[in-house]
Amino acid sequence: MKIPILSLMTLLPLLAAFVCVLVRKQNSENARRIAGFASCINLFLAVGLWIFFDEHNSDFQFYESHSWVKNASIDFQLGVDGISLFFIILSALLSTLMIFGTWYSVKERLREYSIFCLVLQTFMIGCFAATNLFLFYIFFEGVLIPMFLIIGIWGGDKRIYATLKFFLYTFFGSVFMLLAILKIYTEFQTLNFIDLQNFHIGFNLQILLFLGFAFSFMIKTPIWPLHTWLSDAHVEAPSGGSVLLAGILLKMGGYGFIRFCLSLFPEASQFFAPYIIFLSVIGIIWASLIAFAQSDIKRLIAYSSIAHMGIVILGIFSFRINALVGSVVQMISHGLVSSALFFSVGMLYDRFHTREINNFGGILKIMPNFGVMFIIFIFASIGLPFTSGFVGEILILIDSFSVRPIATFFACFGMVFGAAYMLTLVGKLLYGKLSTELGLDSRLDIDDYSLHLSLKPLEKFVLIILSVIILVLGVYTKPLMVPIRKAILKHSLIKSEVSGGVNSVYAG
Amino acid sequence: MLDSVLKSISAVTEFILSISTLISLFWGTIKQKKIDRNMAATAIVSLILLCILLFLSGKSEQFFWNSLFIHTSFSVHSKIILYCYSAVALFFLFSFLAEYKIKQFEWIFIAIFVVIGGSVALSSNHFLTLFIGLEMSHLSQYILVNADRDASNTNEATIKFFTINLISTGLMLFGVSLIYGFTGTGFFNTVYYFFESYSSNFEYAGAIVGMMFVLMGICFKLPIFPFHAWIQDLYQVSALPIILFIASIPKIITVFSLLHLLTYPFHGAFICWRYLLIGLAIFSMIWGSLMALRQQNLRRMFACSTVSDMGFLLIGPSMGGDFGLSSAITYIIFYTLNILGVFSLLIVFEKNCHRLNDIRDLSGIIKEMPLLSGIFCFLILSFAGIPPFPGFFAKIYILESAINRSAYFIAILSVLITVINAGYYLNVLKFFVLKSSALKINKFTLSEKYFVKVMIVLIIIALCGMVIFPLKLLEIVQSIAVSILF
Repeated sequence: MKIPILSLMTLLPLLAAFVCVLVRKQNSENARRIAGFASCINLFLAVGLWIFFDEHNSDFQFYESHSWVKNASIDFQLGVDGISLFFIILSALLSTLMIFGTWYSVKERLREYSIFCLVLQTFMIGCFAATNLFLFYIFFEGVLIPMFLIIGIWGGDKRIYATLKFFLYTFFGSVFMLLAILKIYTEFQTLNFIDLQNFHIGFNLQILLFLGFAFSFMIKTPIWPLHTWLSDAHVEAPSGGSVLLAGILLKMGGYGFIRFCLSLFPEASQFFAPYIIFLSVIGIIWASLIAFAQSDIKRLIAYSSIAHMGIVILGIFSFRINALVGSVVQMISHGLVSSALFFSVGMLYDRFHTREINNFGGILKIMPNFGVMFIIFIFASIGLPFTSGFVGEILILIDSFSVRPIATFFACFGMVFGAAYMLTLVGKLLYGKLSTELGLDSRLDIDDYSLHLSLKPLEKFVLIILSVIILVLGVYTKPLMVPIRKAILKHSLIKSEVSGGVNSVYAG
Repeated sequence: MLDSVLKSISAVTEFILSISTLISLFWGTIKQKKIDRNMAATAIVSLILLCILLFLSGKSEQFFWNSLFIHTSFSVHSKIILYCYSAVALFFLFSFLAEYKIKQFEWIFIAIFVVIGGSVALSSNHFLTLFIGLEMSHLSQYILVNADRDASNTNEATIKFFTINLISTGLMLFGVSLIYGFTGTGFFNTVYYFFESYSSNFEYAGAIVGMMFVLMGICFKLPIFPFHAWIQDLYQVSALPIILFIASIPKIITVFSLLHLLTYPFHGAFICWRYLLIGLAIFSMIWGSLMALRQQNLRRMFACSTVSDMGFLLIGPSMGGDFGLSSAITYIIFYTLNILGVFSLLIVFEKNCHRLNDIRDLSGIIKEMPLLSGIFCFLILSFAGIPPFPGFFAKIYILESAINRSAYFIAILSVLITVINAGYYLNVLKFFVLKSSALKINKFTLSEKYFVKVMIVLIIIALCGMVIFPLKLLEIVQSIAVSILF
């Protein structure tokens, strides 16, 4: 019997959310246990998905199709290929960690928090697994509502402004995708992505449809100048919200570009590539420079995310095989690294109730374990060798240099700037004298602080898992690369260029 | 025997309803002067029974009463929808009116007369039958909105409603007389052939002008942008149960009458009414959304959003074809159910804290009634048309019909309007969910609380069911649409 593993992964969290609704208000701790349990099962399923995934097959695997609205070609069709596989695993991983990593920091309205986490998980996994355009749209948009509530209820002081801005901005972008999807349906009478790949769309229509899709992905990614929602949302979100926002939601944009824009509208993608690369390069430099000037740690990491996603977009739109593989790897890696950084910042905030960089100093003395792992994350964010951040960025930069040398030249500054602001952050945060502005009692001994402030078991567990994955992926990326490469080679844009077979940066 | 009885059932539906209503009215006058559970139950049960009878009656086209009445798939199905929704609305009206110190039993019957009038309008085959039906339902509404006549400003709003609708009546009657004058008939099927055989003579142009007047008269009742002036005041001052009824049942009646007119007698003049409707739709969407965005008053906000939503609905029929038509029918089915759910919840909330005027009055409720508040959020998001909520699925059919006709400008405009709509609906959620307040909330005091809760949950289940298993609904809607387009 075939197990419908993808439907199971998509609907299990939703089911768990319904169970959470039934939990009494007094026992809301139970809701979180249910959420944690369901997410763990989902994570196991995701690992199972990886184990049983045939990495030499470039087609959609575990394919399921259940008819829904037959006469509008809206069907419940799910499938994974090499690209979406890792995003699904990442979603399952991060949403599990989100529940455990914020175990101590979220204390009120636990039941609602668990429900929204689970619903968010359903939408995220569904978004990456959907092979029906309409289904993809529903999941893509559905993410907004739990995120709106998570930011709005558990966020900081200006949370309502931030969450409304986040919602309306991204909703505004994606309604155009809806129109494009409806147009595709009227033209081809199908919304099944697998069938659509066989159609050739006329150039003018491609341009229109590409604009519709790209606008929503550009806001989601985000690309300069459509990035302004991101910093507000990140700063005001609770750390769990920031983790999923940076870890998964931003990746939906990049994933959408690779999955839909490149394969359905190849000529339009080539037509618009210079403009999008231009914007992304501006975004890289712009965001890096702004990150320099930030005094809030979360805002700094948010701007660094914009810069990193800019490099990803550069990789995607250079249409080279290794650059594209690098983009996917970089997105996975950035998902891990940025969420790890947001977890860390959340842990600092729980202890010291401030995010001002200048208020910090000498954290390493009182939280040595935390400090070591934070340094690993910072290094991965800069893209130092032996961390996952290096693999993706170097693949993108090397391969896109051959087609877009000037853009790549400027994009490289992003890495340099990244090193500059991230190392400054580490210097101010971890080293130096123990800051007096952290509200610590100066009469106490340093050992007392370390006892008092050291990471709790679950927090330690989350950070260790993330740092181990980051380090392992930095050394041994092959298990990711083979399926991704296989899936990307299917793109018509890439096929023509890979025949030379010049590149083998990794031992393939 | 049974077949022939069933076949003629739609001819006497209104008779059965009116006679039973009159008898209970009589009985009520003699016996007592308070709202009685039995009377309301009788009315609701008879509506449901009529639904079943109509469902069983044949779908072949028939004429009754000297061809003034028509029996088609469209009239049968639209009446079924009307009766079902009326049953729900009457249930809420009955449950809540006593809570608002409106204890006279007549109100429930006046509400039934709205339904009867609408029923006459929906099965009309003559402009006069249509007119009589619509007027009957509206005359009852004028009385109904003044039910809470001791409240301040109610009279003012009622008079405004009455006067403006009189203008619409005048316009419509003028249009009907023009059509009669130029075509020599008032029967829909004859007018249909007149408009189908296009000619550029004087009579045709005159009849077109008449048609425009009739459509404008209908637009007054919907309401659509320049004819909307009554709705805001009415919503602001009336008691919420009355608004629940006024916002749902007359909408169904008017929308279905409009669709009937557009697709049956005026079908041949598609090219003429199309641009009128598109223009009205665009203006009412823009006006409604922009005005709703700046409303602080919850009721006025809903009034403005109604104008916007009705404008959105007009896009469907103005795109023509069975797809445009069925999209509008689907939209009104979802929309009315949503309205019933939202307003019944607002009544529950209002009865448990205080009069809901401003949007910020909503804050603090969620802590006391989490489950009902969750349902309220669901319905508000559904109104906003955000996927995966039901309202979104209603909207995409309309968008699809616009895209189908390559009307990109309208499609883009309407999705932008949807974003603006999301803005003010999120504003509601902002006060409802995100802001806390120290309001004093009473315990749930409604006497029918159990049934009310069950009914609200049923509405949600119906909405979700129509989304998850849409095939049956779409089949019915499609068959209605095809049946009136022949």
